[in-house]
Amino acid sequence: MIKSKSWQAISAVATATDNPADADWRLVEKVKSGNLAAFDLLVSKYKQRIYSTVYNITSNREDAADLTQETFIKAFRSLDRFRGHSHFYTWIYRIAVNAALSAIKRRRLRTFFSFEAIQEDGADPETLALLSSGAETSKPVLLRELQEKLNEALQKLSPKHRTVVVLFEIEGLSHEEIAEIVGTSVGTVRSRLHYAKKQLQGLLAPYVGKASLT
Amino acid sequence: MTMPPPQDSSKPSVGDLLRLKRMERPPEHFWSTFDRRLQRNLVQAVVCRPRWWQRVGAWLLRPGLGLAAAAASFAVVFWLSAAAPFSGGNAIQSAEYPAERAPESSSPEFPFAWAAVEDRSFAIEVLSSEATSPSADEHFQLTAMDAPRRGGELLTLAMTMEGRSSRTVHY
Repeated sequence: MIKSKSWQAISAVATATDNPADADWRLVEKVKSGNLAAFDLLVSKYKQRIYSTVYNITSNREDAADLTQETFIKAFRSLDRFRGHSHFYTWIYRIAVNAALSAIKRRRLRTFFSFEAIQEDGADPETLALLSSGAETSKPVLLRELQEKLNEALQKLSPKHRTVVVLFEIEGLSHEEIAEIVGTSVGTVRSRLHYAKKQLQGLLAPYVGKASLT
Repeated sequence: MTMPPPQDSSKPSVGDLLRLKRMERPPEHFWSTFDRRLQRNLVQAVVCRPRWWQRVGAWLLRPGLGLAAAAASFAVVFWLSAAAPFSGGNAIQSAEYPAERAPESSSPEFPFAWAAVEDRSFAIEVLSSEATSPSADEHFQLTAMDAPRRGGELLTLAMTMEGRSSRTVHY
């Protein structure tokens, strides 16, 4: 990506403000006025989250890489039409989610999965401790087993339910933000989330504690 | 007030397990390749902006649109064939018609028949007809569209071309 003085200057302007939405809007305006370096900054800011969302919805890392590229290209091309009525990140999440769901529809008959390896560094130590407590096997073996079972269970959810689970549990977005991204009501998001977690609870029963739906 | 069921603290919750997915990340070198590729694609997007007809073409070739076009074509063909059910010939034809109200000149000896056909839809199938003479008798089979729900009713009747125009039906 572009690493120059202009990039650093734009970065400084973008981070000087307290509100991330305002910072994004400032960058969007710069891109609209022809500054490509500002778009690089938006990419740097959101690429990991967009990749993670698409990867967790599609369960295929190669597709996720392509769809993340596609998302940013689409966003770049459609930036003229972005008027700032919603936050930039909900807008780009919406592009990514739509791209992922379309890809799932396209490859309905040739489904195959490929997963990333678990990177233990940077993981929440409390979660790791909780996951490995009382286990007889070593931590890496246990984590691999849990990952496998979790991915199997997620695949059994419908794409719409999986999307809501991914955005809420993995991406940490609020119900309101998810409703805006997937284009439904907050009530529908809550209902989908409840149903999906109930289903996951059943599928992962040997690994999770009872009454852990909240 | 009911107490919530006790949480099994020795085991993780579904949420804890799902947070495990945050640890599934691509290796660092993935991002350098990704950035280079995106840079190339962005430049291409700036330089080679698709023309309007290319965008329309891409939109038309979207998956699902072909199926919709086929369904629309089928609907048009069906509608056209339904528009001319009495075109003659011996071929069997099918069409759907709403039930007509009883004409004033209806035969008084068959009042029940009109009561039966009122406000119902029927599929009319031409069983035979004389194509050579427009006034020749045609034989039709009427099947109530809601027949499966009502236990099945089948009415066979003969209708003349002239009779049809004067709305007289002979059972």
